[in-house]
Amino acid sequence: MFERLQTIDRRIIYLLLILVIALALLKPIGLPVKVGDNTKAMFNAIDALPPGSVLWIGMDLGVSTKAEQYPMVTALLNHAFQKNLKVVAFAMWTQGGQIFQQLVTPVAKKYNKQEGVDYLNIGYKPGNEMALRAMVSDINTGAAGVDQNGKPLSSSPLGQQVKKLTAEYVNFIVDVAAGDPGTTAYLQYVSTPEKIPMAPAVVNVSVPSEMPYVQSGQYKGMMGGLRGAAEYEILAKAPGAAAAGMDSQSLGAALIVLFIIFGNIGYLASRSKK
Amino acid sequence: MRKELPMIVTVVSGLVVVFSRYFHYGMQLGLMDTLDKWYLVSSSFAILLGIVNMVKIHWGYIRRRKEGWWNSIVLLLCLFGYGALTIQQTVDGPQAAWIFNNVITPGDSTMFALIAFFISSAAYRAFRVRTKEATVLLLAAVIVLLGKAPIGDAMINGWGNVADWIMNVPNTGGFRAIIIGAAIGAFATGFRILLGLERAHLGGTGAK
Amino acid sequence: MGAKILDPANLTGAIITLAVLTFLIKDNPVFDLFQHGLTYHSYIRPTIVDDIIKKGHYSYIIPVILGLLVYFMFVPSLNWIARYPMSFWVGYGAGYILAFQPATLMPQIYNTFIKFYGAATVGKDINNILLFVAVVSALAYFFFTVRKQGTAVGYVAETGRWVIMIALGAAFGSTVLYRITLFVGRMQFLLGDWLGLLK
Repeated sequence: MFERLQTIDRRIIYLLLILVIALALLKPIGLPVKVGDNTKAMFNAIDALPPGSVLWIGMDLGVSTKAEQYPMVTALLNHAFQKNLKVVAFAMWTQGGQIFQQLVTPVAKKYNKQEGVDYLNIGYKPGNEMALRAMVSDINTGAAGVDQNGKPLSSSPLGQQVKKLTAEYVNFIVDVAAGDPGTTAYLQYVSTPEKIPMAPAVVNVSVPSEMPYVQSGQYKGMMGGLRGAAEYEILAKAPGAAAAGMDSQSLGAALIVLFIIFGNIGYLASRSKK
Repeated sequence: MRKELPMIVTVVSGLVVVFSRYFHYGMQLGLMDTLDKWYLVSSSFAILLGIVNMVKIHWGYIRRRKEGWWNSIVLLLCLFGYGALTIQQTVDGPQAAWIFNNVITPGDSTMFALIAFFISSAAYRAFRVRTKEATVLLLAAVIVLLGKAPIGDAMINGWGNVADWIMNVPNTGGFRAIIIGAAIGAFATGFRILLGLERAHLGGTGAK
Repeated sequence: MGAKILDPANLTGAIITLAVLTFLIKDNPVFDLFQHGLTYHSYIRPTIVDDIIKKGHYSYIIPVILGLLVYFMFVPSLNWIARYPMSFWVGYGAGYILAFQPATLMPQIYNTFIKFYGAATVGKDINNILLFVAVVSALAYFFFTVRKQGTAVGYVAETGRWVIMIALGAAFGSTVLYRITLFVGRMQFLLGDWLGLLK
């Protein structure tokens, strides 16, 4: 009888997954989220920046990772604007500039922040790592002198202030990355040679491979996955979409583990029968 | 000379970067800044390569009436239609932004979200404790999966700490070894390219 | 609730989401074009109009020509010309690796050899020792040109194999969590933004 646990129709798994996630969204349980050391380290590093410091946000993500990374950017922007930091965004991924514009507008309105003065969206520029290196010598070289929509960088106060991607003009880098090019490019071509501290905000799948750099201190902390975004929201006292998704994520994970256990019970039962 | 001259271009452009980075005189000359700009400009003008290739392939499907050829017509219409739209009104223009927010965003994100189903079905079917190695892999996966979600700590106090230990020690150790190995490999390949031993990019049979 | 369901933006998004959920769209042409329109505005037009024409940086014509040479790969008799821009890009990339990678790699190596005593707690000391063992044994596993059968290297490499198993298990667990989260996001859109059922 237990052998049949190995052959459950996959449509049952799909249906249960949808039901469990939907129910958890409609009736949240409110599982407590403990703040981890890596998120705390990143938060403290940014919190220690004096007002007026420049926070460079690498928008190396696409709409496909919206669920995990949009809350990260929003939590980060809330924290940055609370601390009166200047924010400059640059994207090596084509959709990054557009996504930043979409996310910064409501947060900037909440804190009365102005584009060009308190934040600047350089947007997407082709060239990946070479664009970063070009901006180390001169922002205008890497950005062709214009922002995401073709407006001259020199026409805004923040564009005039941040002349180069060096420690003299930029105080901290956060790279919100969904893959490559992303954190490794910033670490290798900007953070290490120019000695600008940085921290990544990456999707869950990248967390294991980024851990060595956190341990070595090359990253000053890390925001990892939706859990990292939820932890950051708690620290920044800016509750958002990340916290809302944690229960569904938990129950979905538990369901998959349950099915793995069923499958193995079935496997062990059929093996002992033989 | 059709392969020798391009090889000289490869070696010279690589050596300029190395010279500019490691030698004070090289930094002063500022050659790398110039080449950075050349790289950015040249690669951005090559952006149409993808379009030309795509049009070639899909035009071939339409001409030959290959199965599903009408998908290729839709693709080419969208290719030139949306391309013209973003050139005419920039990506933040009203119609372009609407298409981005209400067609691209849900379509792209749902395609990636579909994998949740495939991965859960695959995990159920394939993850069996057949060997000791498979058991260790399964245990590590389950501990991290539940430990990184709040449910782990909710079920058993301290589950999250075990998951954190796995991430901080064995995971970091394993991935550090992979990083070091990959870095040494990339370094060796870079050396081979600058020594002219790698010729795959010249359309040859590859390494010498 | 009715107004939200019929809102053109939400409705289009919901139809696309549900359509993708029922069958995979094989190509995503709209995304590709987005990239080309964006590069035109954010780089090509400013380079030609502002840099070359307005500011007179005529030296940029050389990289423009270099970039355009790559299209000769579609002309069979002249495709050797496309080797020049490719050679420049490959050589430049190789130079970058040699120039910048060592500085990033070194901290990875010397942060493996941490003091095995004197940390804040005994637990941290044990973890430092275990980390060292994990890195060295996993590296030994990747020595494929050394005889391992019955040798000391072989036993160390066997330990490394287990370390990598654990690391890959952790990676798989993280991947599953990631994919679930992406689907949770789509459900939040359908139930919240479209049907208005979430608070």
